[in-house]
Amino acid sequence: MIGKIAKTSMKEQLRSPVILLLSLLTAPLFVLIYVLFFPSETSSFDVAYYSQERNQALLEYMNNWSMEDQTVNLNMHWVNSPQEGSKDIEQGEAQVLVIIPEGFEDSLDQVKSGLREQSERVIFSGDLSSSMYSIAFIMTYSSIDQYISQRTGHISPFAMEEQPLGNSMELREIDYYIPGLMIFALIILLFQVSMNLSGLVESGILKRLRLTRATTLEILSGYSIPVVLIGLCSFFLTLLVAKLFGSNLHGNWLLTALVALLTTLAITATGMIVSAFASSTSSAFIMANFPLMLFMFFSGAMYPIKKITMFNLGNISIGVFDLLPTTHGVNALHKLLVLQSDFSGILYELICLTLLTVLFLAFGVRLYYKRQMEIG
Amino acid sequence: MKEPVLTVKDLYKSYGRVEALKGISYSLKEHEILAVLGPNGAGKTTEINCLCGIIPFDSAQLYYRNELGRLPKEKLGLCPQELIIWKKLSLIEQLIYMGNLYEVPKNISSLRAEELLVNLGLIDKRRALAGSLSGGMKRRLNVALSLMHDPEILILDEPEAGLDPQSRILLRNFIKIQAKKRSVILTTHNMDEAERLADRLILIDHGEIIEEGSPSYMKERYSCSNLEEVFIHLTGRSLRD
Ligand SMILES: Nc1ncnc2c1ncn2[C@@H]1O[C@H](COP(=O)(O)OP(=O)(O)OP(=O)(O)O)[C@@H](O)[C@H]1O
Ligand SMILES: [Mg+2]
Repeated sequence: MIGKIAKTSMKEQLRSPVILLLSLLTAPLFVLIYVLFFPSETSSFDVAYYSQERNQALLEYMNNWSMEDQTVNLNMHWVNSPQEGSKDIEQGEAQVLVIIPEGFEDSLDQVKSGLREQSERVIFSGDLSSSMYSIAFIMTYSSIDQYISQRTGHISPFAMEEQPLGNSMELREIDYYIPGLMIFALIILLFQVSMNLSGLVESGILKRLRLTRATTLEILSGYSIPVVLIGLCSFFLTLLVAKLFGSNLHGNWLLTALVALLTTLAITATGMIVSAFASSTSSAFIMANFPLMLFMFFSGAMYPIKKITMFNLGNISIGVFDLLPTTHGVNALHKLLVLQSDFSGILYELICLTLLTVLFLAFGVRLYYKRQMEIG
Repeated sequence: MKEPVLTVKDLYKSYGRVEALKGISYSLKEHEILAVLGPNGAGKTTEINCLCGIIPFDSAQLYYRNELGRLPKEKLGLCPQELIIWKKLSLIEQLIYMGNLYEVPKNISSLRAEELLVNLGLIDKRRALAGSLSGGMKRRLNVALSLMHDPEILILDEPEAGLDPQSRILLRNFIKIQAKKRSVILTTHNMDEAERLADRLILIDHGEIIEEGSPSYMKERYSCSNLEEVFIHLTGRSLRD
């Protein structure tokens, strides 16, 4: 009996090949995406390097440095001021900023000849809430440490200071994952939007709606507004609960709300795109998993993801994952709540998010209309 | 003679290789009840869906009165063959909502909703969620939803399917009253119903009109005592899809 039921069920599944393929291939496809985008065995960290004396020797040493097993190396670039370095960290172009003090090389000479115990103090700066920073910090530290001992012949800890960006120092452990969870609260709206809209097709309600004076835009807006509101509530509720349990996150709440709103709209639009292809709630559910995983794993919501530059626009580098609206949502939120950025600090994210949201919405509405509503 | 409310000329529609409609032409007069009859798969629902703009047709000329073009949405009221109701809304809520979707003024809308509920024997359930209704009540609600905007042409696709004799009589009288205010197109497999209700019949088979006329004309012409005999005479005994 079980065998017969299973066989029939299998037969039915085979007759919805798209759904079956998605269930089968989504996860393997993501493995493929990973290895395609992050192919190398070695990981490299981007280091912003500031030295008023333009210490070339150390920079070159660090650039050529790698871990003994060759798995990690450093990618150095000059910055003209500590502020520029901080900007680079905010933009994801560097994970750590090292500031080499004036008279650093002289102090090394003095250490070598025994005139002083320690070199001048090197300053490390970065976003202490990011796990990328922690690793990049250790690697950068080791490379400087090795440079110093090679240069002076002494093995001794060198003087250094760590300067957190924004309020990343005051943060509690809980704060590290709250911004990601807040974005997650919005990302899961994908299910609600796509299942609602595909449900309209499945139940026939869309047919009734199409007979009335309501336009596609009105129908889609009407069904989206409650979802957007639910998303925003869930977003701030996540924050509230975190706050109740001691989270230290704070920042410009108005801008935070704006980022949340734009992100929600982009996710709603993605839901429309999904429902353009799904004519039942169950297939919408399966299909929605695909963009959901993209948004979760490739926009930095779950864990930090390194920027992969696609092309440069002036002095801004555009990454592959910048095509995902959630990338900018995550980045903007992180900047606002962790790095204490203001409007100008998230301008780039706001522009990208707005553009992508408008683009996704236009595409989503058009596609839903074409596939589910158009008549001859 | 007055101009017809609706004229359909040479309506063609195919689904891939299936030619569902092969040139349907007819017209509908004011206050007329026109029954569209035909075996399963004859193309009745397809024809109605093309009229209402739910599915695209291949070619046709459609006239509302004497205007050629797509039929104006608000003039048509369709009760689809399948049940399309909001299970999680109460009867009154969904009727009012339907009125909103057609931009019916609020005061008119609530009066009309109450009236429809009374006339279709649903008033006791006005506040119940539609999901909790019996099958027959759901079908009557399906009819009510198509009338909230007071359309000039009411199109009913098998409205009496699944109704008990009491409801059928109620619905029949309801449709007769509707014909005082508007024209009605109705598809049915119930020949008895068609005979009692319709002013005129169209018999469709394999996407073509094979006969047209009043019930009495049809019976006379084929010397049959009832419509069912005419139907079998014209469409044969073999089963359709
Ligand atoms: N979506 C579709 N795709 C392909 N073929 C279809 C589709 N809908 C209907 N058909 C075909 O078109 C023909 C006419 O179908 P239609 O539903 O209009 O018949 P009908 O007269 O309403 O039948 P019934 O009395 O069973 O409701 C049938 O052959 C049917 O198989
Ligand atoms: Mg039908």
